[in-house]
Amino acid sequence: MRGEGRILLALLAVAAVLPLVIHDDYFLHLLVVAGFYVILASSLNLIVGYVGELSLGHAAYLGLGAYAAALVTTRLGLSPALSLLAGAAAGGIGGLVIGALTLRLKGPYFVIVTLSFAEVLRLVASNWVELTNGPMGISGLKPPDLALGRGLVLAVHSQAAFFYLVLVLATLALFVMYRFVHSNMGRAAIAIRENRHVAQSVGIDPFFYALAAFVLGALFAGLAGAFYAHYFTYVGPEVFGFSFMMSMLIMVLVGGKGTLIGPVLGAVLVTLADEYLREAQQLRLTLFGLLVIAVVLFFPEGLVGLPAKLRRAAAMRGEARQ
Amino acid sequence: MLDLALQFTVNGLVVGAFYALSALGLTLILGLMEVVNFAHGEFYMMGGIIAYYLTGVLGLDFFASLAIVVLVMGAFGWVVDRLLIRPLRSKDTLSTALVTIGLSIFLVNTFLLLAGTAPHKVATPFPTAPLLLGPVVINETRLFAVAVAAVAILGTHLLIHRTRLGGAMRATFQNKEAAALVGIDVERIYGFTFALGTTMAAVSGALLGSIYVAQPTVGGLVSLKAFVVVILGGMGSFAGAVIGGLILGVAESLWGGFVSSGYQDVIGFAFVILLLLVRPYGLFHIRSERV
Amino acid sequence: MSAALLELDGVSRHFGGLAAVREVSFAARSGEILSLIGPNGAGKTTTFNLITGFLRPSSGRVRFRGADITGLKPHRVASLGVVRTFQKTNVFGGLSVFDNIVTGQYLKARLPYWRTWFPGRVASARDADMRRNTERLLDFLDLKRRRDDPAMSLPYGDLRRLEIAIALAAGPELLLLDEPAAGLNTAEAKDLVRLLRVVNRDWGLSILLVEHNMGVVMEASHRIVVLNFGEKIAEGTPDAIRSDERVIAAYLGRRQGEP
Ligand SMILES: Nc1ncnc2c1ncn2[C@@H]1O[C@H](COP(=O)(O)OP(=O)(O)OP(=O)(O)O)[C@@H](O)[C@H]1O
Ligand SMILES: [Mg+2]
Repeated sequence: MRGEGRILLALLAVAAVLPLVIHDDYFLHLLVVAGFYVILASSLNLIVGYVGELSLGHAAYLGLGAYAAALVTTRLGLSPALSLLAGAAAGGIGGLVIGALTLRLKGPYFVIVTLSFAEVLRLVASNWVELTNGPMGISGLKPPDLALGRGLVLAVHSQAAFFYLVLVLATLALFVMYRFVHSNMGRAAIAIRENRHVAQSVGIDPFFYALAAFVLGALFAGLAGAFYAHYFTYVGPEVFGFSFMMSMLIMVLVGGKGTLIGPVLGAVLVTLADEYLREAQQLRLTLFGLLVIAVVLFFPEGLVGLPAKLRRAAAMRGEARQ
Repeated sequence: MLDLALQFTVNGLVVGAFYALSALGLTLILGLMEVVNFAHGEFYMMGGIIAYYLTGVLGLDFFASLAIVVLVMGAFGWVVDRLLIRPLRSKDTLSTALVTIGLSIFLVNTFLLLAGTAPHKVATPFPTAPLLLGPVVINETRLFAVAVAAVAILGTHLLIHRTRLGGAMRATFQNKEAAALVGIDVERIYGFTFALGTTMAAVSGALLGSIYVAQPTVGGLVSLKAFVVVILGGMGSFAGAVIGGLILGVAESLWGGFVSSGYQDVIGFAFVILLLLVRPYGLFHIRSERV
Repeated sequence: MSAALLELDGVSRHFGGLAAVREVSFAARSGEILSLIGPNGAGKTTTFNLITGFLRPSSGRVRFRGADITGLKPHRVASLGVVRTFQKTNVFGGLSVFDNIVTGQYLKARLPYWRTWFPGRVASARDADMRRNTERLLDFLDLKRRRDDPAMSLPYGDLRRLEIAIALAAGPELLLLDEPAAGLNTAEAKDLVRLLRVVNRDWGLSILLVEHNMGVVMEASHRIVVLNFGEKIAEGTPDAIRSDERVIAAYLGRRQGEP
């Protein structure tokens, strides 16, 4: 196994014992939110980090997943386990349709059209009152108890239970992504990012692999959305909004795009920072703005790239001394 | 019914002129420089807030305030280009888009800290009483804004097509390398273009702040509409931006009036999506990618 | 040297009013090194683009092993065994030299998509194969020292060899090289000729070569096709081309002061 996989496993081990040592429900709640963002940011990273396209419509799949989960449980009365699947499927299908339509577009056009799709969906969610209850949103979702067999139900009520649920989902997501990016498919996606023409000349179909990464990302964003719906027991049009998009983008950038660990670190750190700076609402966001600028200009590889950057700087200093 | 349609159309044209005005700066920055500028709406917002302080708080004359906005925001745009955009010039869309997203977050929240959430109105010397033109109602401030929009568009057009600076701009955006070879300081042209785009956004913010409101949080919506207008009009074309703005304004107004006001804002996005599905390289862009 | 491997049949390409390639026909035989030469702007790179699907011909057909490949997408053409390099050096800049060559083997590494998530023995065996093959190519192209360096940090000569390594990694039957000797010094150009010979004779690859360095062209090619202003003006052995008057005129007309 590669270094990246080992670090992720170590993180998983640490996370798995956290609820045993932390009994503060509020802190556990923060960890659950962080787990949700781990899935979401990692899913965006597949597109922004690995294929190298700035999709600003990623909130669309989050929203589709959340609404799908809300609708199948409140309208059809399906079990929460199925609604998680429904969320992932809704996100994935959304990604397939939108990706197929937009991935032929170049640079600025791609950015703006993906954003347009998310906005259209947000407006539909606020206006199609019969289906979505409009701006009021859908509330009263049940906790995602998992029926493991006849009469055997894994109740997900406590914060700790929600934490383990999100941990399982995040592990699943990262495992699937790990296998993807370290496979021939993932190499093809990276090749498109690095040099589209050379990729084509060695037989890689850029459209297909960009779409594959896009659908995979959308699918996990949908899953994150479904989890969100059950955890907060409420879904409103804001799940399609730009503020989720901003949050996940900041996490991916700060942690380090194009690596699996980066978005995980970014999600946890930004969630916690966000919480502890909550007192200073605008100041916090002002700082985030500056942080994004600084990262893009000076640390394009994010936190994950920092050690290598420091090592390079040290080596240069060493050479200079000689 | 016909009167109503006429009124909606006129409303749409007025709103459309404002859309065009607020998108003009973006035609330069997105259309020519290919920077997906998410801070465009914030430049607009800054124009409005600064004009409000100058007129409302300091009590300066509206036109003097407008002149100050031009100077301040021109300098601001130059600095932004120099510090944030220039280092990323050779990179892809991703980097510049991200840096402007950061700038946008920074500016909105800085202005929320400074100016608070309350909406402000920029004071103008014009009466707000409605003017009746046959069956159509309109007011003087709006007419004035439309007139300023027309002047701004004409002025920029002349600048680009009749001056040496404009010639250098056209050369630069047609072929950067060739322009550099014939001795044009390409970096200065980029800086100037960005500053000009920023100024135009700010001026429209100041003007429209006298009709709507100036408020730190308006930027997001302005950016989105401006993206739509620039894409509809064809990247980098002034006439296109005007036409795009008018089309968007009228379509929204008619749709909102006759069909459904809830979905009014969908129209622009739907246009953009449909247009780019049919013409993936935009309305007026000729495909020319070299291997 | 036998049957035609690649055939161009009356291929043209216009850009607006300009005919960059006009009614060009020629055939590359299996097992040969065929050079495509001509003054700047003659249409050589455009011809490459037309063969490999980066551009569609305005008219005419391209056949590979008898099958019509006109207008196929680039990755489809590559998957048939026609792999090209680019005039402006093109590699996967952010990846290490090793990963560049691994990525080049995409076609060979393909497995059913579900294997991505359930790799099993097949995938690890395939992986091991690929690593071995990569080491072999590193060795062959003298890039061992650079194994773990990011491609964009490579000096020019290494970069050009890496580009060839990527193309070879793709396992082509027909290799198209666009000015591989550009920017190389005399010794490096000699090495290139040797490399082309080995690849051609020992590995059995057919090569279509675009090159301005006449030393390389004359030494390496079995036959030569000459383009000028988009049209084919001559075709023949190096000796015949060397003394062809139209060819001399074309070169003299375009580039004065050169022999
Ligand atoms: N995408 C394009 N759009 C417009 N014109 C093009 C395009 N590609 C090539 N051309 C023109 O077609 C002609 C042939 O160009 P091409 O690059 O094929 O020449 P070449 O033989 O490879 O020249 P060189 O030896 O300089 O590489 C030139 O006049 C060139 O300007
Ligand atoms: Mg060429």
